[in-house]
Amino acid sequence: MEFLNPTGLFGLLALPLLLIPYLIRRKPKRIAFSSLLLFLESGEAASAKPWGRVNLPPIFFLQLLLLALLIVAVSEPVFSIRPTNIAIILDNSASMQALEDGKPRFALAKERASAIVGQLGAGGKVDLYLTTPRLEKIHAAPLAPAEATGIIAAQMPYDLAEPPTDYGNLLPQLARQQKFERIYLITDHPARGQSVAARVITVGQPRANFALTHLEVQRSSLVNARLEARVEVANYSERDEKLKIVLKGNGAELASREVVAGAGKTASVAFEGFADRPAYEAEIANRDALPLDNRRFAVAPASRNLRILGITPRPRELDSLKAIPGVHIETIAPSDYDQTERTGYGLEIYHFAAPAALPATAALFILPPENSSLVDLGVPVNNVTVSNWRAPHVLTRYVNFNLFRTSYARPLKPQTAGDIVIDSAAGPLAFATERQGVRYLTLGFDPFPYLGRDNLPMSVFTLNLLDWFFASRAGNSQATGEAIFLGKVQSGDRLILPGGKSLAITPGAGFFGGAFFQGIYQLNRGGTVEMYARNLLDPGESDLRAATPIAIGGGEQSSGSASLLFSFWPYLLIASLMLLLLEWFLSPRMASIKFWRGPSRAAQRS
Amino acid sequence: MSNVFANLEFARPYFLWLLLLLPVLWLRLSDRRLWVLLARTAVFGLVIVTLAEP
Repeated sequence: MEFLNPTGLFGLLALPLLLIPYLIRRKPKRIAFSSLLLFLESGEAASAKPWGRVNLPPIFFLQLLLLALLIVAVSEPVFSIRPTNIAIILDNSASMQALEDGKPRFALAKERASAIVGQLGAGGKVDLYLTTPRLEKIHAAPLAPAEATGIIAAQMPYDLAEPPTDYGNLLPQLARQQKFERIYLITDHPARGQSVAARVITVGQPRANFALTHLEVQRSSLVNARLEARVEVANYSERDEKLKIVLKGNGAELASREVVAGAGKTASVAFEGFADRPAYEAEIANRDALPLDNRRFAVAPASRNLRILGITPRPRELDSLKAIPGVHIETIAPSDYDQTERTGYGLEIYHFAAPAALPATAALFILPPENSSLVDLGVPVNNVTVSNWRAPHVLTRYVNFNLFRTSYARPLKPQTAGDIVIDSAAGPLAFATERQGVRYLTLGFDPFPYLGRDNLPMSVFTLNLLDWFFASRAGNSQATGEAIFLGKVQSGDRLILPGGKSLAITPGAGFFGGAFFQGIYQLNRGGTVEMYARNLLDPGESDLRAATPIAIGGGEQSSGSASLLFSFWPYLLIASLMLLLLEWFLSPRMASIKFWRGPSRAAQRS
Repeated sequence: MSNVFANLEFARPYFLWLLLLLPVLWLRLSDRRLWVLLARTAVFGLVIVTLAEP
């Protein structure tokens, strides 16, 4: 026998409360009477105390039984038969790495799973599933118990957020479709209810936790090589905490700061002027429940030198960009585009030109021809004034748009999703978009030549757009699970995972989709090393105070599981009803019977 | 409130027939105080409704 709602059994602790009415005595009343002789013979001495000796009539035990039956019925007792065809779903999301008395939740989950498998007979069958990155079976055919135990022991949690899943509907549906007699979901979410087919086993308790929620390392601007790092920390606890943040480069400590994070709030801290390193790591030195989110990784921003390839029929206009410190530009004619080796450039500027396909590097399109894949062009207009612009935005900061004039423009008609950054009465003038982490900007006007102070609004805008492209090369980290785009792969290229494992990349592979662990991924491509940072970016995994409960309804039953349980709580309720009726009619009579009391003093004397 | 009752269903409505037993309680109206009778009626009714699985 087992209970679907064992919490209800705590109600049995309330049973002694039934004694209270029998312990309370009525306050004695003074009544004038001719003789007290007969009362003295058989009565008890009057007492001013509200409590008296326990004097339990038989009706008390009837009421006790009635109350106990009702409480046991609430806990939904069922007779169960041991299932033989089961599925175990292990929650392998990031929060399962939280420590419970020094032991990770996932280790506890594996122990529980192994114990369930151990209870199966030799002929039992087990299917194993993992929840992250999506609910998926981790083997093809059903496993024998011994085989399943081995596979369970080999599993490990990912540094990934759990995908949103409605387990209340999904588990009974899975049981029905796959004909599982029972499905066990072992997770750190609390369970609200259980059902015949689906059981949720919870490991772990609500805990206080801190997390690094942001790390960004960048240069101040294109013309300022000074490095800046901004770290944000969240305090998922009920009290203010003083946290020590350490910034590391290649494992060595570069700087540290202390910050006070209020209860349930975030705080940020900035580092400046530290040494240049290929990759950075920020860490909270304080210990807490989930060590995983106490670390965060970022790759170094790109070199302050921006190499630009200009594809233009008017090279002199683009050459004016050489006046900007840190900018190196080489120009080619559009007709030479196909014959030119284009590797090593941080930005390509298509000046009155457009490639057949979008380039793999960031690109600025200035008045592209009609066949552009990003925009169509409107009717030419002269002396356009800007009517609207995106703010705050890197492209529009510090630009005085009242003085911003362009003698010739063609309004843009975006053909893809993106941001209209600058707009005019005639139509959009600047359209920004991003594909697979690569930024593209299309302008309906020509900002060149770069004239510096002679055309300040346009020069500021030009510097802004170079900064915008420059920032896109800063290598800001992305979430774990997001693909790493490999570009053109050659034989011998390798990807080194955060744990040090080296993977050979198959030529033709467009991306690597297995970045499930936090850290720095190194792509060794033809002698050069590119780094990618991946971090856990889900506050829901870090906030361990109150996980969302999983509500399992009892109504849905799988075809195989219906015969496994026999619910008899309705019979307990029927028995309670009968007892209620019985007690109602017996109560006055039985209460008057003196029970467990010795013979009266008068009888003793006689 | 009327919407709540409009959407109310019972998984085992046949248990509601047990409500017919309620007048049996009221047979002893004269022996008991009124509040005791009302309280017992409420308890009895709740148990029956629970059985009917609303």
